[in-house]
Amino acid sequence: MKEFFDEMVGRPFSALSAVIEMLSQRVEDGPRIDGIFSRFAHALSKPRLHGSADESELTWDGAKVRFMSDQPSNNGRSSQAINTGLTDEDRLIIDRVNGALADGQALKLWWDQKYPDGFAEKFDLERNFNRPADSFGFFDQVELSTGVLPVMGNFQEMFYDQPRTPANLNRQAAEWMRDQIREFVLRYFMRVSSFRQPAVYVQSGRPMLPSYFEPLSWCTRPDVVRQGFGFKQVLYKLRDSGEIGKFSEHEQSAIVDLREIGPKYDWIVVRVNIFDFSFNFQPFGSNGPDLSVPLMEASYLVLSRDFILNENNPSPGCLGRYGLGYAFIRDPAEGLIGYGPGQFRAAIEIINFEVSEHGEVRVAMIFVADRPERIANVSLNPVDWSLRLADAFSVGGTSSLLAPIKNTLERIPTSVDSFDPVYSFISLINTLTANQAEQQLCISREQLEKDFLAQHFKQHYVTVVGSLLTWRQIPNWLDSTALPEWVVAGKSS
Amino acid sequence: MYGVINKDRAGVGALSFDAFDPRSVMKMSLDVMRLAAESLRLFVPGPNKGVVWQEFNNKLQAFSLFENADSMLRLETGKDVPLAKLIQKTRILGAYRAVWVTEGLGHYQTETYWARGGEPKELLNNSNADDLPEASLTPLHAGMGLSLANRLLKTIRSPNSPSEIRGVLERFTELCRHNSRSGYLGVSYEALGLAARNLYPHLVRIIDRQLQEIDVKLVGYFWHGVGRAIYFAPTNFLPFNNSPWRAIRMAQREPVDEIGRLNALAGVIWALTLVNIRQPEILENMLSRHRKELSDSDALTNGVSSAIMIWRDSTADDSGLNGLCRHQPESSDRDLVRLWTEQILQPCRIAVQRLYPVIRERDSLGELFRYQSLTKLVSQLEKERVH
Repeated sequence: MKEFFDEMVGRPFSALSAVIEMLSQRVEDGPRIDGIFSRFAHALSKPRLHGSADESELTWDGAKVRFMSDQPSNNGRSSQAINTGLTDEDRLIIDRVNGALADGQALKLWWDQKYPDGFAEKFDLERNFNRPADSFGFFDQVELSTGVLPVMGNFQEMFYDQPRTPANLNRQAAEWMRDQIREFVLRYFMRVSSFRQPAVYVQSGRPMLPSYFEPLSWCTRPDVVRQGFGFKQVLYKLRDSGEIGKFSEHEQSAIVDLREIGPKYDWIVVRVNIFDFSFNFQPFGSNGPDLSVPLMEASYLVLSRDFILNENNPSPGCLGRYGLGYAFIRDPAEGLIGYGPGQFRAAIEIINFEVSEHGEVRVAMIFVADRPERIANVSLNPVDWSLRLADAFSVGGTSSLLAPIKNTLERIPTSVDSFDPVYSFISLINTLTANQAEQQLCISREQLEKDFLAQHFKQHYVTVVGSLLTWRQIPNWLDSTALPEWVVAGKSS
Repeated sequence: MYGVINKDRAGVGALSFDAFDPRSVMKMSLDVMRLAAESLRLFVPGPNKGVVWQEFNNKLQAFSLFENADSMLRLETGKDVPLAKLIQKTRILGAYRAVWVTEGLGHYQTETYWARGGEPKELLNNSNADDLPEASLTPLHAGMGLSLANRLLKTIRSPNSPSEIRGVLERFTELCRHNSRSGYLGVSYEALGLAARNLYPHLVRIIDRQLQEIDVKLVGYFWHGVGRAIYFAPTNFLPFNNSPWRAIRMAQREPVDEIGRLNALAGVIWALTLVNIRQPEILENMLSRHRKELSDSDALTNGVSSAIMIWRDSTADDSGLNGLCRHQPESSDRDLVRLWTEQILQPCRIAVQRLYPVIRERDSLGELFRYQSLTKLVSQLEKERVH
């Protein structure tokens, strides 16, 4: 049965997919036609192989790399010793590192060329009252290796700190501040960028209640409210040997000194938990019901030398520039949320600190990401629904019976396999109101995108302000022996 | 007809879906096209029309034999048969068909290995492969190289990412080294160009750039493979619009530098010679149309000589070879006759009598898969032998 479906359904669709993929490539017409026909002919003619052969044939959709996870294809990992102990998820992430880095580098290059006034559409994002801060958002397009990508993003700059010293000590204080900031940013910032909000004291020794009594209890419960970013380093690639490995459990919170990225590490992959970050959708206005989509799923990021800034005395009036940045790695699995950390097709974040000759420290943050194609993924696959339904009615009995059909159909790439209720709502309401909903009520994709950027702005603002307390409570960041254990170990929250 | 009656599986007379599966339909289509080409060759009037349709027919046959090697040898899915035994079975197909089927077997075997366990290891260079006939090694390596190249190129996610492409190319060369026999490495390397040009044409330029950085020698193999791909390219398949002869112009236009052009041109000639070795008039026709472009360099001589030596090595049958090496154009065009003699006949004889024995003895057949001065190569090999 499985073989029948593989041949009669899987093979033609595989051929069609190969053709469609070729259509999207940037190449001259002649070679493109050759590519289309060659792929089609080869996909239809290639020998039928025993076992899981065609599973690997369909791995061009990176999410379906079961074969590769057993025996990694070493995409971009040539001549590299692969550390043992990697999980399938690690291997999937490693396979995506080079792509994410390439896109990230292209986005960064694009940003450097466009900033400050070269954007197709630039708009104000936030207003700050009595605070020396500046920000703007933008929409534009970036040409990546995979095609033109519509992007959006924001830039925010804010005051961070300054020395409080007599005027005659200004220069000395400024240089002290520069050395401190350099150490803080390049060595400790990623270790201490998450923090807990104060929590109500909970009396200990209270007897445990049965779970059914818990909802009736008025006793204070422990409540952990975290903010900022919680980084954990997961994977690395050594520069000299090319070895790819995994940080041990106890190393994960103590992010490496970023100055080692380049000389020692080609790249490191970190996992970030973005706390207190949600996307709100209010289809019936601000007084109506509010759909809050928490975008707090962990996301993988990759840091390479291209994103690390370490410049002493880079220009007149400036004592130093130090910073970090990363490219986002798209999650191998598609979840319910179709946009946000972990779901960006390509995105970067850059956080740069600058110390002026007077010792004033300012921080600039840059975010560039693809514009969302969808906010949510609701499956529209009737086969999936039918099989689930049949499974439910047969108490799981149909699973094994229909497994061959399901396996084959799952491997068929379809262009319409899910829909997005959020964007569908926007399209529908604007169609029904002749776009009045957009013009008068701001029910539009753009508005949602600006809301997302505003949320992103606020989240980073909170993170930087939160880190300020940590920064100021350490008298000397260069005295590593005097630093508290939670700073060194990166257990800040 | 293939697959209609599946006696092995379901008893005599049972109708099998095999007859209607896409692969069988594709094969039947190729067979029908070949039949049509044969009819047209016989009945379409006009000078050289027969040659063009014959060339089309040959190309279809080579493609079909390669892709359907398993059905040609009646391989049962999932059943393990020693490769040496399969090679033995190809003998009944005759020299010409055996070459293409053996290349298909190299591809099939490698694909099977991927499907079952992952990256192939020591496929053709371990002791288990010692019992393979030497004549089968070149086509087996060519087929294996195609599978390795296709599998690895398929994993590329960012076509403009130099680091990713470089990683894949280094992995490809590493796999070639681990799976190829000494002396046949070049055969495996060359397949990269064929896979890239026809299945991943958007990667050709960036692969070229990366190979320049990895190892310049690989660039020659790559463009030779691209030339072979150009000959088999679908836009050159149908005998219309001056095809297949425009492959020559494409081979000159697509590469970015002279090394690429010479190799691509040699690759086109190489493929054209092997596919049409039984009908030298096809090569003659090509020469008469492109004499100017082809007389500018020795890529023609290189392509023809290399193809002849590979044919000599891969088949025990000399009839095709003799046919080509003794062919005389029936033309009053003196220039063509002179060109044929100087660039085809004489090199052909030198290749068979002088170059091939040294190259064979020094186990350097892989060197024939890129453009270079063959006489210099042989001198070099002879010097090495003396030392």
